[in-house]
Amino acid sequence: MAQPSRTWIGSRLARMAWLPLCLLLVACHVDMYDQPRYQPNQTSAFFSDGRAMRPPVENTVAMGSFDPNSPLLTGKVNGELTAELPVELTAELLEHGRTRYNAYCAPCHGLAGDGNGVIAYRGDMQVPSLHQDRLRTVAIGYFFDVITNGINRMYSYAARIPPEDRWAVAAYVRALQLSQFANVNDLSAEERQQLGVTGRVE
Amino acid sequence: MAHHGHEPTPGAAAESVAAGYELADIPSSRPIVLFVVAVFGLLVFAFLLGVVLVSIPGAQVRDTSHAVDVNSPQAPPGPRIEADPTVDGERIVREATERLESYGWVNQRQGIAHVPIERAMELLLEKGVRPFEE
Amino acid sequence: MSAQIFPRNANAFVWVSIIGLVALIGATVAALIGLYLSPWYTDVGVPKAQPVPFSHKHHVDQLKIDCRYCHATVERAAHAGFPSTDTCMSCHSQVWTNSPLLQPVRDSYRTGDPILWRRIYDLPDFVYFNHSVHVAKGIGCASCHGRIDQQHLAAKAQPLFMGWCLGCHRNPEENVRPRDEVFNMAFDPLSLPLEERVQLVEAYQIPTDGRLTNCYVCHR
Repeated sequence: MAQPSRTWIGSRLARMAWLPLCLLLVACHVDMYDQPRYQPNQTSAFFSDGRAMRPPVENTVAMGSFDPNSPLLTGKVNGELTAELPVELTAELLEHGRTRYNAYCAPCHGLAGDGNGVIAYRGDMQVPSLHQDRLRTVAIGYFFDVITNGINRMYSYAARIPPEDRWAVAAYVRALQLSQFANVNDLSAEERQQLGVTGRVE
Repeated sequence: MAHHGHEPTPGAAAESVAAGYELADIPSSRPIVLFVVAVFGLLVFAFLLGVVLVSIPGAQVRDTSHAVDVNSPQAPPGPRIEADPTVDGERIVREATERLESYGWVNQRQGIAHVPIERAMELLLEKGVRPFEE
Repeated sequence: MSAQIFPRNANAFVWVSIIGLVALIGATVAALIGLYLSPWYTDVGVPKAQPVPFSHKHHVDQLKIDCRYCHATVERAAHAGFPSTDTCMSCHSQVWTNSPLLQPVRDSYRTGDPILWRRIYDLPDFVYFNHSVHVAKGIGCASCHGRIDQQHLAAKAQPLFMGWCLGCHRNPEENVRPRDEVFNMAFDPLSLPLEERVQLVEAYQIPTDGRLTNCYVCHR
């Protein structure tokens, strides 16, 4: 009785010899590849709105020394736009502001700040130039405020540009304005010569 | 096993067997030579005919006013959509960059100039970010 | 003649069978490896259908928009930052306001429901990758993402095999570029002479003592 049974099992085993090949097809498990945790921008079946990234509850503020009325975060001192930078004005700040400006502002306002950005051209939009008297004489906090809250058709860029970077942009905007509105008397003798000026200009 | 050699086919001439091919198929090389000569002769004749036809005075097209100049294709009548956005984008960036790298007058009478942005950043570090005076 | 159990050609059959079996196994392994490296498995160069047919070529190459305009956290966080609907609408509230292609964007803006974009690069969860450190150390977007500014629909440029990661972690001088060229898609790091790139590696303090190839650098 046992003899035929053994051959029967043996032939069954032999016939299943192809099974290890299936391992090639299933390759491996994916539970290390896709671990039970969320990644940025992933969908979630748990939350009713389907997002894994949770928007903060309204009126949430950061813990610690956060002061919602500080000039650094509002651009205002006692409700008035500040004319002073709440951060130190350095060459690095301006250089940093330049990269931010070129990335976030230049599409519309143009690399030179004249309102001739590629998007403005392409979208046929009238973008105000930064080189107008109103904006040259406005307090620096104004630029911070506009970046933070948007103005007219311009959206807020607060989500994309952190407050310190916004001040860098505001300072760079001043540099841009100065580059297009420099008093000849502030320039060096060589520069004046390049412009064809010898003495002081009144 | 018996050896089967190739027997000469009965009827082939002895000369053909000696030459290795059927001499009767090519009685003479004359027609071949004639054909080649005729083809070359025709080529030379066609070339000369072309030269003569082209050199006849008045045979050229004189009125080229309706011809399309392939070297400078004309743009279709406007209003046009943007033909090459990459070129336009690069032009706008280039113009702004040139403006930001050069010296020039904005208002010569008031002594207002535009300076390279690098220089303006230096000047701003001295001047500070306070609003410009009127 | 005595009875032959095997015909004369049995020897040939044996040899053909042995060689054929070896060749078959070899060919199967080669085919599997080829399949593993092919876009069928890696998705390299295969664009995915997206809710909105966003074109990087149009926005980056033609409109000269900086990468960071949309991928705003690439210099600050591990995740490059995927643009919110608000980012799209900061232009498309003005431009192409009636385009049916942008209807999902407007719907999303109105209802607050996110647009479900399909992920192109999906690293295994056991790999830790940080965008900001690569950007800060002078590794350009194009080094991993290829010339995405020339792609209409986004597709993977690299299969992200571990050997490929290690190649750069072993020889960072092959891919390093000046920091101000990181977001310049057209810049070719190899256009700089090797000495300059080695200097950049040193200036950016990229470790060359082998630390970068330790397992825990990426698997933690």
